Amino acid sequence: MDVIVCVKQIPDPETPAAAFKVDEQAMQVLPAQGISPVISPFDAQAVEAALRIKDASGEGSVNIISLGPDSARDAIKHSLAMGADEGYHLKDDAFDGGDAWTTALALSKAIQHLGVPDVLIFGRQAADWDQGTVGSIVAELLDLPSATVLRAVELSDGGITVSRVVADGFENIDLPTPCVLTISNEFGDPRYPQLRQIMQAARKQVTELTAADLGLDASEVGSAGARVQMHSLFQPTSDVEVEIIEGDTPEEKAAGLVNALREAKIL
Amino acid sequence: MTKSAVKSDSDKRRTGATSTGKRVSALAIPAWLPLGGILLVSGAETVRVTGAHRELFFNIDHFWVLYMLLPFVIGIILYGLVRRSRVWRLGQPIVSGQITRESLRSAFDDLPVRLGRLVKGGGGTERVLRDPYSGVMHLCIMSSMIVLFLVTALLAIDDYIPVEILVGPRYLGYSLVADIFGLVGIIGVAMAVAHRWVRPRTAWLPTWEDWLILGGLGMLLITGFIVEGLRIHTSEIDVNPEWSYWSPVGYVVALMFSGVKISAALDIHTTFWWIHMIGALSWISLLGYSKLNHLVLAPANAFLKRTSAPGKLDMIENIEQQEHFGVSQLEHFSMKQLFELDVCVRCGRCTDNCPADIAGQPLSPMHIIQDLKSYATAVGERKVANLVQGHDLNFGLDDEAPMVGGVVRDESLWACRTCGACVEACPVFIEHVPTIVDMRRSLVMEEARMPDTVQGTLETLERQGHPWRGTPYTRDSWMEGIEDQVPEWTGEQDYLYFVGCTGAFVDRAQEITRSVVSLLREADVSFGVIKGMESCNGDPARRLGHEYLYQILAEGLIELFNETGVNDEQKTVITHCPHCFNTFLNEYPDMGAKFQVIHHTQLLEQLVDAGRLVPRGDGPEQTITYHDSCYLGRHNDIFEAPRRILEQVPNVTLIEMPRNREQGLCCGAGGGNMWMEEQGKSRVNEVRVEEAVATGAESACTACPFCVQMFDSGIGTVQLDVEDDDKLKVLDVAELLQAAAVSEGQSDA
Repeated sequence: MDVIVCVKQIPDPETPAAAFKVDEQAMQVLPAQGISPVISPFDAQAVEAALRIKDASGEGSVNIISLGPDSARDAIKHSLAMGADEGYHLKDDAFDGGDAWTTALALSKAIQHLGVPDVLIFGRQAADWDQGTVGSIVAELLDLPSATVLRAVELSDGGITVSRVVADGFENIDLPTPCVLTISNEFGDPRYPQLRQIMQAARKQVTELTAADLGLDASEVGSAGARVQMHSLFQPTSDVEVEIIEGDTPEEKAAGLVNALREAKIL
Repeated sequence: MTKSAVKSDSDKRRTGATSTGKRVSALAIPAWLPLGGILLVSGAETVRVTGAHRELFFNIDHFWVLYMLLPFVIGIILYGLVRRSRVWRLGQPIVSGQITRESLRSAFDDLPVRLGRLVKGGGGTERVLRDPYSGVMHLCIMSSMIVLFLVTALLAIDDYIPVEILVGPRYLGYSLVADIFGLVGIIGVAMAVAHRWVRPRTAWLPTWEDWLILGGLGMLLITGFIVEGLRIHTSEIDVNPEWSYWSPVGYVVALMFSGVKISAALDIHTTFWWIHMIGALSWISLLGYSKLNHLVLAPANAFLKRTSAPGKLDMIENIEQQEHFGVSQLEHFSMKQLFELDVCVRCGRCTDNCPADIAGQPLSPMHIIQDLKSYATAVGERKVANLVQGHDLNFGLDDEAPMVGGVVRDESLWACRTCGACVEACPVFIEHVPTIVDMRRSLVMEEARMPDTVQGTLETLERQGHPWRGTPYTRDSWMEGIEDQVPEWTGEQDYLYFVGCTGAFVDRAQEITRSVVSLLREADVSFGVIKGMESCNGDPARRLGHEYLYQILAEGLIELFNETGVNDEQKTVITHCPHCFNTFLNEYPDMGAKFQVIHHTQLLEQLVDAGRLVPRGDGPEQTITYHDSCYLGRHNDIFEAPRRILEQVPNVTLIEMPRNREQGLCCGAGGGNMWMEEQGKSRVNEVRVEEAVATGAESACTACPFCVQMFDSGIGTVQLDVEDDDKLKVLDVAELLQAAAVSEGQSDA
């Protein structure tokens, strides 16, 4: 079974809060010193899901597409090290400043360019902006059935059986192929690459594709084609006051707490 | 024995040598010479013994059969050892590549050290003697065997040289010594049997090998006395009774046979003589086929053990060109590592000292070595056969359980703290830790199979250059508010203070960092800190088995040190972390490091000695127990510097825990276990905290930021019900010294 996984490189979500800075004027997140950007964790799980589908079907390929700056190549390499076959990097200055729509547009063109596979997989959302829309937009653009926020994916006769995470439980669905899936963190940890694969991935060529290669005009993508406008970007400050309720016994402390909550009009 | 007695002994001996004109140097066996000499002398003075002697092959025909058998036995032993050596030779040459002159040189470098270890640790069984019971037991058996072998050889030599040595008083002394050491041997065997029968260690149970060797030896000693007793009964007791008093055990045996007719006794004598002799030859043949081989292999291993620091791990050179990473097959081990498996005598001391085993966790170093040894026997021999028959090495071995994950379980490999207690305890100089880490390397790099916590730690190291996943801090958080008091490294100062990841990212350890800075400022040390730019030196990655990541991190840091002028023979790096210290000192030279390294306790001791730090006398009375960090103490031999600092703080009383210095117990964090979930009955840090609490000390002092954290969390559970004020307090040596030696106004930094 052939699978394509779309991955995004993001600032490491483990970056300590103290090291997280934004440039409010330029409306950009400043990279933290000494902390490399990483593949979005949900996307790594998407790669894991793709590799398991390939293993279960016993044949096919897992190819990776990522749209982003030069460094995005590392997210592709990481996926290759996990065991993916080929990597495609959508790299063009024209893509800069895009939004979910322009990203989805470029990705869908790239997927058509490579040939629509049996399964297309995304992470449920990129762990930086957390919009969670690119997968669904691609499904619309390619007119494919989709299932989002999945915790399990299995092959079934002639299709795919998935389990969605919903507010009050799980929803099990059968889909035909080709289809679009987005993977949630409940799916489980992605594999840690073997050193040999890391070294092989380091030697592997990643194919670069520009907007022109995909038949896209610069006015359709990047900031020119974006449909979402950002008005401001800032780090919210929150003042927290801590009051320790004193008391000799647990009962006294509880009574003190209740009084304090009443005074604050919370109770 | 008094001094004068010793003197008269040697004097008389010289006299005796002159009078007979023959030297007695053949008797020069240190263990019994003085005793033998004394008895010989007193014997000469008290008894009429001029003609005392005995016949070599008394009552024995066809004794030449014995001489015929001798080369045969030697052949059998050699065959066993050579055959076994084919399994050892499956291993990698000592240095990767092939056996070159360099690789041989590396096995023979530091010759004086190796020879010293051969003499003291091999011949002198220095480490065996550390355990009083088994030390005495082993000494009894070993001395008995050596003496009895020499006694037998001497009798034969005496018979074939023209001059008789063993005559008169010398013979009688000789007889007495032989009898005494025969008895000593029986005592040793009895102790060994009792050891196995009455109080077997939990770590092991005796096997057929133990009983065969001990039973055989006991049988030899007893039949030896029976033969002697029958000889005395039939040829001595009636003729020269005063001679037989000099063979006291034989004399008693002779009395037991006194009712037996001489002719019958002679027949029994012949039978037992042959049983004794054939038995002796058979028993010694076990040397090629059982753990009795430690007679030869243990001293050899004492010689072959690495002379580098025990905590050093060897580098995988040209890692990108390797066909495999770490050890997943027997043939990936070095020859030395395979050889070591056969040296193990299953004494169990490694396991008895292993922190994981003590805490009931799934690791027994002895079982790892023993299980690998069995595997080397079963599978190694088949690999050898495949080689001989021109097959692929692993032909027909597909169904065998994998060595890593099957023979040795993953959880055992992860439970290792690399603390080196096993290596330190091993009387035959086996190095368990590099063998365990080699298999971890395969788990991590070859198979990418590891606990989630290990994976998370390695990912954090890769991405953020430190192992503390989820920390809210940055590299420089610890200096918030005191930035102006922390000098930036300019390349001009004498010392670089390398804060390290734990000192920067863990709040409790940040306090230690600030104490060190405060002390360095107080003593006016010329130092600086590379602000914001430090990265992990790779130690956690290396201990967790990710050699490749270690090399990447180490190359990066060396590059930073090159750029900032740290990597210079004139510069010294201070570290308060023993793990950073060990890596910089012992492992970075392989990566091209030239700088000097000093642990903060060493430097602080120098500063106190020089009067640049003066602990005040008005501090509170306090009792403190010092906990040795494995990587400072056992691995780098720094036991006294931190203790001397504590001793120089007025009003401090130092109390030792029973396990201290070389025998110190790990806090549980070593070998990357700081970042793992522990599995098993209890936690290592709780065991250690209980030991510290049991001393009655108010505080535990240590010199490692990991130990401090492990103690803090151990106290949380061990002293759950204790009032906060009465709980054990945990301090780094620097914190204690800061409180005593830095004036109030300075104490913020």
